[in-house]
Amino acid sequence: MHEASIAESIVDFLLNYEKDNSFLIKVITLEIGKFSGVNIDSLNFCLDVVTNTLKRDWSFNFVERPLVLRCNDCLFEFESEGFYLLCKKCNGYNLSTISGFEMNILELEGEEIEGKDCPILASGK
Amino acid sequence: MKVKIVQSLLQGNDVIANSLREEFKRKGIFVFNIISSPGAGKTTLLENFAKIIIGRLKVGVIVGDIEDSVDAQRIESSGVKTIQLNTKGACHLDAGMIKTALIDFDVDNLDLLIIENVGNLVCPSDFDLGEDMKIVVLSTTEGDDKPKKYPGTFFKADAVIINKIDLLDFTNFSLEKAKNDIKTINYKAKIFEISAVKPETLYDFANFILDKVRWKKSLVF
Repeated sequence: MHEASIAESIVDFLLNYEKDNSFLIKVITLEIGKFSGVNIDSLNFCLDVVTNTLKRDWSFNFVERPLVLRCNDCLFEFESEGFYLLCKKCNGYNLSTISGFEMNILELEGEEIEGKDCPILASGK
Repeated sequence: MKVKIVQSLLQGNDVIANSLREEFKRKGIFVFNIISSPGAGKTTLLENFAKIIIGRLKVGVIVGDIEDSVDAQRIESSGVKTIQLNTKGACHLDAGMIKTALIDFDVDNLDLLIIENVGNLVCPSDFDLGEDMKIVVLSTTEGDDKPKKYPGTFFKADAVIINKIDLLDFTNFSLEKAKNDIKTINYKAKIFEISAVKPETLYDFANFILDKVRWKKSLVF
Protein backbone atom coordinates (compact mmCIF):
# COMPACT_ATOMS: atom_id res chain seq x y z
CA MET A 1 0.00 0.00 0.00
CA HIS A 2 1.01 3.69 -0.09
CA GLU A 3 2.08 3.28 -3.70
CA ALA A 4 1.31 6.94 -4.38
CA SER A 5 3.75 8.25 -1.78
CA ILE A 6 6.30 5.64 -2.80
CA ALA A 7 5.96 6.81 -6.43
CA GLU A 8 6.57 10.43 -5.35
CA SER A 9 9.59 9.40 -3.35
CA ILE A 10 11.02 7.44 -6.33
CA VAL A 11 10.57 10.46 -8.61
CA ASP A 12 12.24 12.79 -6.06
CA PHE A 13 15.18 10.42 -5.86
CA LEU A 14 15.51 10.19 -9.64
CA LEU A 15 15.36 13.95 -10.15
CA ASN A 16 18.00 14.51 -7.47
CA TYR A 17 20.17 11.74 -8.88
CA GLU A 18 20.09 13.28 -12.34
CA LYS A 19 21.02 16.70 -10.99
CA ASP A 20 23.75 15.50 -8.60
CA ASN A 21 25.39 13.18 -11.13
CA SER A 22 24.78 15.02 -14.42
CA PHE A 23 23.14 11.85 -15.65
CA LEU A 24 20.09 11.64 -17.90
CA ILE A 25 18.11 8.59 -16.84
CA LYS A 26 16.31 6.49 -19.45
CA VAL A 27 15.42 3.19 -17.77
CA ILE A 28 14.80 2.46 -14.11
CA THR A 29 14.72 -1.10 -12.75
CA LEU A 30 12.78 -1.57 -9.51
CA GLU A 31 13.05 -4.66 -7.34
CA ILE A 32 9.84 -5.51 -5.45
CA GLY A 33 9.54 -8.46 -3.09
CA LYS A 34 6.34 -10.47 -3.48
CA PHE A 35 5.61 -9.97 0.24
CA SER A 36 6.74 -6.35 0.53
CA GLY A 37 3.13 -5.12 0.55
CA VAL A 38 3.75 -3.10 -2.62
CA ASN A 39 1.49 -3.91 -5.57
CA ILE A 40 3.45 -3.57 -8.83
CA ASP A 41 0.44 -2.64 -10.98
CA SER A 42 -0.62 0.06 -8.51
CA LEU A 43 2.93 1.41 -8.29
CA ASN A 44 3.24 1.48 -12.08
CA PHE A 45 -0.04 3.38 -12.32
CA CYS A 46 1.06 5.88 -9.66
CA LEU A 47 4.39 6.39 -11.41
CA ASP A 48 2.52 7.18 -14.64
CA VAL A 49 0.40 9.75 -12.83
CA VAL A 50 3.33 11.42 -11.08
CA THR A 51 5.64 11.48 -14.11
CA ASN A 52 3.16 12.62 -16.74
CA THR A 53 3.74 16.28 -15.90
CA LEU A 54 7.52 15.86 -16.13
CA LYS A 55 9.29 16.15 -19.45
CA ARG A 56 10.98 12.80 -19.03
CA ASP A 57 11.26 9.75 -21.17
CA TRP A 58 11.58 7.37 -18.23
CA SER A 59 10.81 3.71 -18.64
CA PHE A 60 10.20 1.54 -15.53
CA ASN A 61 11.05 -2.17 -15.34
CA PHE A 62 9.90 -4.29 -12.41
CA VAL A 63 11.66 -7.36 -11.04
CA GLU A 64 9.51 -9.32 -8.61
CA ARG A 65 11.37 -11.34 -5.97
CA PRO A 66 9.71 -14.47 -4.59
CA LEU A 67 9.64 -15.35 -0.89
CA VAL A 68 12.73 -17.51 -0.37
CA LEU A 69 13.49 -18.92 3.05
CA ARG A 70 16.41 -20.80 4.55
CA CYS A 71 16.01 -23.27 7.39
CA ASN A 72 18.62 -22.55 10.06
CA ASP A 73 18.36 -26.12 11.33
CA CYS A 74 18.88 -28.18 8.13
CA LEU A 75 20.10 -25.35 5.82
CA PHE A 76 17.46 -26.17 3.17
CA GLU A 77 16.50 -23.20 0.99
CA PHE A 78 13.06 -23.07 -0.58
CA GLU A 79 10.44 -20.80 -2.09
CA SER A 80 7.15 -20.28 -0.31
CA GLU A 81 3.86 -19.07 -1.79
CA GLY A 82 2.48 -17.94 1.53
CA PHE A 83 3.27 -17.02 5.08
CA TYR A 84 3.01 -20.55 6.44
CA LEU A 85 6.65 -20.66 7.44
CA LEU A 86 7.65 -24.24 8.07
CA CYS A 87 10.73 -25.86 6.55
CA LYS A 88 9.64 -27.96 3.58
CA LYS A 89 12.32 -30.50 4.38
CA CYS A 90 12.49 -30.90 8.17
CA ASN A 91 9.28 -29.08 9.29
CA GLY A 92 11.31 -26.78 11.50
CA TYR A 93 10.21 -23.25 12.44
CA ASN A 94 13.66 -21.73 12.62
CA LEU A 95 13.76 -19.90 9.29
CA SER A 96 15.55 -16.87 7.88
CA THR A 97 14.28 -14.79 4.96
CA ILE A 98 16.56 -14.69 1.92
CA SER A 99 14.26 -12.64 -0.31
CA GLY A 100 10.66 -11.52 -0.69
CA PHE A 101 10.48 -8.16 1.09
CA GLU A 102 12.57 -5.96 -1.18
CA MET A 103 11.51 -2.42 -2.10
CA ASN A 104 14.46 -1.04 -4.05
CA ILE A 105 15.56 0.99 -7.02
CA LEU A 106 17.97 -1.58 -8.38
CA GLU A 107 19.57 -0.09 -11.44
CA LEU A 108 19.53 3.03 -13.58
CA GLU A 109 20.32 3.15 -17.28
CA GLY A 110 21.07 6.41 -19.04
CA GLU A 111 23.82 8.68 -20.26
CA GLU A 112 26.17 11.20 -18.77
CA ILE A 113 25.49 14.79 -19.66
CA GLU A 114 28.30 17.22 -20.35
CA GLY A 115 28.39 20.08 -17.91
CA LYS A 116 25.59 21.53 -15.82
CA ASP A 117 24.02 23.44 -18.69
CA CYS A 118 21.41 20.86 -19.54
CA PRO A 119 18.12 22.78 -19.10
CA ILE A 120 16.16 19.70 -18.08
CA LEU A 121 18.54 18.87 -15.25
CA ALA A 122 18.90 22.49 -14.18
CA SER A 123 15.16 22.96 -13.80
CA GLY A 124 14.71 19.70 -11.92
CA LYS A 125 11.52 19.20 -13.92
CA MET B 1 25.40 3.13 -19.39
CA LYS B 2 24.04 1.15 -16.44
CA VAL B 3 24.48 2.13 -12.81
CA LYS B 4 23.72 -0.26 -9.96
CA ILE B 5 22.06 1.51 -7.04
CA VAL B 6 20.07 -0.69 -4.62
CA GLN B 7 18.28 2.28 -3.08
CA SER B 8 15.34 1.60 -0.78
CA LEU B 9 12.00 3.05 -1.90
CA LEU B 10 11.32 4.05 1.67
CA GLN B 11 14.62 5.86 1.78
CA GLY B 12 13.02 9.13 2.90
CA ASN B 13 11.66 7.47 6.02
CA ASP B 14 14.60 5.12 6.56
CA VAL B 15 17.28 7.82 6.61
CA ILE B 16 15.45 9.57 9.46
CA ALA B 17 14.71 6.26 11.22
CA ASN B 18 18.37 5.27 11.15
CA SER B 19 19.48 8.62 12.53
CA LEU B 20 16.92 8.23 15.33
CA ARG B 21 18.24 4.72 15.95
CA GLU B 22 21.77 6.12 16.28
CA GLU B 23 20.61 8.78 18.71
CA PHE B 24 18.73 6.24 20.85
CA LYS B 25 21.83 4.05 20.87
CA ARG B 26 24.11 6.93 21.90
CA LYS B 27 21.79 7.89 24.74
CA GLY B 28 20.96 4.33 25.84
CA ILE B 29 17.20 4.73 25.32
CA PHE B 30 15.22 1.51 24.71
CA VAL B 31 12.36 2.09 22.28
CA PHE B 32 9.35 -0.05 21.50
CA ASN B 33 6.66 0.57 18.88
CA ILE B 34 3.30 -0.89 19.88
CA ILE B 35 0.93 -1.82 17.05
CA SER B 36 -2.59 -3.24 16.95
CA SER B 37 -6.09 -2.84 15.54
CA PRO B 38 -8.17 -0.04 17.08
CA GLY B 39 -9.58 -1.22 20.41
CA ALA B 40 -7.17 -4.10 21.08
CA GLY B 41 -6.10 -2.43 24.33
CA LYS B 42 -2.82 -0.59 23.62
CA THR B 43 -3.69 2.49 25.66
CA THR B 44 -5.11 0.58 28.64
CA LEU B 45 -2.00 -1.61 28.62
CA LEU B 46 0.28 1.41 28.60
CA GLU B 47 -1.73 3.21 31.32
CA ASN B 48 -1.31 0.27 33.69
CA PHE B 49 2.21 -0.66 32.55
CA ALA B 50 3.28 2.93 33.26
CA LYS B 51 1.94 2.69 36.83
CA ILE B 52 4.06 -0.43 37.45
CA ILE B 53 7.36 0.94 36.17
CA ILE B 54 7.01 4.65 36.97
CA GLY B 55 9.27 4.59 40.02
CA ARG B 56 11.93 2.49 38.36
CA LEU B 57 12.45 4.07 34.95
CA LYS B 58 12.34 7.45 33.25
CA VAL B 59 9.69 6.89 30.62
CA GLY B 60 8.34 8.94 27.73
CA VAL B 61 5.41 8.07 25.49
CA ILE B 62 4.47 9.23 22.00
CA VAL B 63 0.89 8.40 20.99
CA GLY B 64 -0.34 8.49 17.40
CA ASP B 65 -3.99 8.95 16.46
CA ILE B 66 -5.72 10.46 13.47
CA GLU B 67 -7.49 12.94 15.72
CA ASP B 68 -8.00 13.76 19.40
CA SER B 69 -5.77 13.58 22.43
CA VAL B 70 -7.78 11.36 24.76
CA ASP B 71 -5.17 8.57 24.66
CA ALA B 72 -2.30 10.85 25.62
CA GLN B 73 -4.36 12.30 28.47
CA ARG B 74 -5.09 8.81 29.79
CA ILE B 75 -1.46 7.73 29.75
CA GLU B 76 -0.23 11.01 31.17
CA SER B 77 -2.58 10.61 34.14
CA SER B 78 -0.43 7.60 35.09
CA GLY B 79 2.41 10.04 35.69
CA VAL B 80 4.38 9.63 32.46
CA LYS B 81 5.23 12.46 30.04
CA THR B 82 3.17 11.79 26.92
CA ILE B 83 3.08 13.63 23.61
CA GLN B 84 0.08 13.21 21.29
CA LEU B 85 0.64 13.22 17.53
CA ASN B 86 -2.41 13.77 15.32
CA THR B 87 -1.77 12.49 11.83
CA LYS B 88 -4.88 14.16 10.37
CA GLY B 89 -5.53 11.20 8.08
CA ALA B 90 -2.27 9.28 7.82
CA CYS B 91 -2.87 5.70 8.89
CA HIS B 92 0.54 5.14 10.50
CA LEU B 93 3.33 7.03 12.19
CA ASP B 94 6.54 7.65 10.30
CA ALA B 95 10.07 8.50 11.37
CA GLY B 96 9.68 12.18 10.55
CA MET B 97 6.77 12.47 12.97
CA ILE B 98 8.79 10.81 15.75
CA LYS B 99 11.71 13.15 15.12
CA THR B 100 9.37 16.12 15.53
CA ALA B 101 7.80 14.74 18.72
CA LEU B 102 11.20 14.08 20.30
CA ILE B 103 11.89 17.80 20.51
CA ASP B 104 9.52 17.93 23.49
CA PHE B 105 11.42 15.29 25.47
CA ASP B 106 14.56 15.60 27.57
CA VAL B 107 16.34 12.79 25.71
CA ASP B 108 19.36 13.01 27.98
CA ASN B 109 17.13 11.81 30.81
CA LEU B 110 15.15 8.99 29.29
CA ASP B 111 15.46 5.23 29.81
CA LEU B 112 12.46 4.05 27.83
CA LEU B 113 10.50 5.56 24.94
CA ILE B 114 7.18 3.97 24.06
CA ILE B 115 5.53 4.72 20.73
CA GLU B 116 1.84 3.86 20.55
CA ASN B 117 1.11 3.66 16.83
CA VAL B 118 -2.15 4.51 15.10
CA GLY B 119 -4.71 1.71 15.49
CA ASN B 120 -4.16 -0.27 12.29
CA LEU B 121 -3.05 -3.86 11.72
CA VAL B 122 -1.79 -3.25 8.16
CA CYS B 123 0.49 -0.24 7.60
CA PRO B 124 2.38 0.66 10.79
CA SER B 125 4.71 -2.34 10.64
CA ASP B 126 6.05 -1.16 7.27
CA PHE B 127 7.48 2.08 8.64
CA ASP B 128 10.70 1.99 10.61
CA LEU B 129 10.63 4.48 13.48
CA GLY B 130 14.14 3.72 14.75
CA GLU B 131 12.71 1.41 17.41
CA ASP B 132 14.41 -1.59 19.07
CA MET B 133 11.29 -3.67 19.08
CA LYS B 134 7.87 -3.93 17.45
CA ILE B 135 5.19 -5.27 19.79
CA VAL B 136 1.84 -6.34 18.34
CA VAL B 137 -1.25 -6.54 20.55
CA LEU B 138 -4.00 -8.98 19.59
CA SER B 139 -7.11 -9.14 21.76
CA THR B 140 -9.26 -12.24 22.26
CA THR B 141 -12.36 -10.38 21.11
CA GLU B 142 -10.83 -9.86 17.65
CA GLY B 143 -10.70 -13.53 16.78
CA ASP B 144 -7.90 -16.09 16.62
CA ASP B 145 -7.71 -15.86 12.81
CA LYS B 146 -6.02 -12.44 12.77
CA PRO B 147 -2.39 -13.65 12.60
CA LYS B 148 -3.14 -15.60 9.42
CA LYS B 149 -5.14 -12.73 7.95
CA TYR B 150 -2.47 -10.12 8.70
CA PRO B 151 0.73 -12.15 8.49
CA GLY B 152 2.96 -9.25 7.43
CA THR B 153 2.44 -7.45 10.74
CA PHE B 154 2.88 -10.57 12.88
CA PHE B 155 5.94 -11.55 10.87
CA LYS B 156 7.68 -8.33 11.88
CA ALA B 157 6.74 -8.48 15.55
CA ASP B 158 9.44 -9.08 18.16
CA ALA B 159 6.73 -9.79 20.72
CA VAL B 160 3.00 -10.43 20.59
CA ILE B 161 0.73 -9.61 23.51
CA ILE B 162 -2.56 -11.50 23.59
CA ASN B 163 -4.86 -9.21 25.57
CA LYS B 164 -8.30 -9.56 27.19
CA ILE B 165 -7.65 -13.14 28.30
CA ASP B 166 -10.22 -12.46 31.04
CA LEU B 167 -12.85 -12.47 28.28
CA LEU B 168 -11.87 -15.85 26.81
CA ASP B 169 -14.98 -17.57 28.18
CA PHE B 170 -17.17 -15.13 26.23
CA THR B 171 -15.46 -15.68 22.87
CA ASN B 172 -14.57 -18.48 20.43
CA PHE B 173 -10.92 -17.49 20.63
CA SER B 174 -8.58 -20.49 20.80
CA LEU B 175 -5.33 -19.54 22.54
CA GLU B 176 -3.72 -22.69 21.17
CA LYS B 177 -4.64 -21.89 17.56
CA ALA B 178 -3.59 -18.25 17.82
CA LYS B 179 -0.23 -19.10 19.40
CA ASN B 180 0.41 -21.86 16.90
CA ASP B 181 -0.40 -19.61 13.94
CA ILE B 182 1.83 -16.88 15.35
CA LYS B 183 4.66 -19.39 15.74
CA THR B 184 4.36 -20.61 12.15
CA ILE B 185 4.50 -17.03 10.85
CA ASN B 186 7.14 -15.86 13.31
CA TYR B 187 8.99 -18.49 15.27
CA LYS B 188 11.03 -16.03 17.30
CA ALA B 189 8.24 -13.77 18.57
CA LYS B 190 7.83 -13.83 22.36
CA ILE B 191 4.18 -14.24 23.35
CA PHE B 192 2.57 -12.77 26.47
CA GLU B 193 -0.98 -13.47 27.67
CA ILE B 194 -2.47 -10.66 29.69
CA SER B 195 -5.49 -8.71 30.70
CA ALA B 196 -4.53 -5.04 30.50
CA VAL B 197 -7.13 -4.14 33.13
CA LYS B 198 -5.57 -6.57 35.62
CA PRO B 199 -2.12 -5.23 36.56
CA GLU B 200 -1.02 -8.54 38.13
CA THR B 201 -0.96 -10.09 34.63
CA LEU B 202 1.48 -7.44 33.41
CA TYR B 203 4.49 -8.33 35.57
CA ASP B 204 6.09 -10.79 33.14
CA PHE B 205 5.91 -8.22 30.38
CA ALA B 206 7.21 -5.49 32.71
CA ASN B 207 10.20 -7.62 33.69
CA PHE B 208 10.87 -8.38 30.04
CA ILE B 209 10.98 -4.65 29.26
CA LEU B 210 13.11 -3.87 32.32
CA ASP B 211 15.68 -6.41 31.11
CA LYS B 212 15.68 -4.80 27.67
CA VAL B 213 16.17 -1.33 29.15
CA ARG B 214 19.13 -2.58 31.21
CA TRP B 215 20.62 -4.21 28.12
CA LYS B 216 20.27 -1.00 26.08
CA LYS B 217 21.88 1.11 28.81
CA SER B 218 24.80 -1.35 29.01
CA LEU B 219 25.68 -0.56 25.39
CA VAL B 220 26.53 3.04 26.27
CA PHE B 221 30.08 3.62 27.43
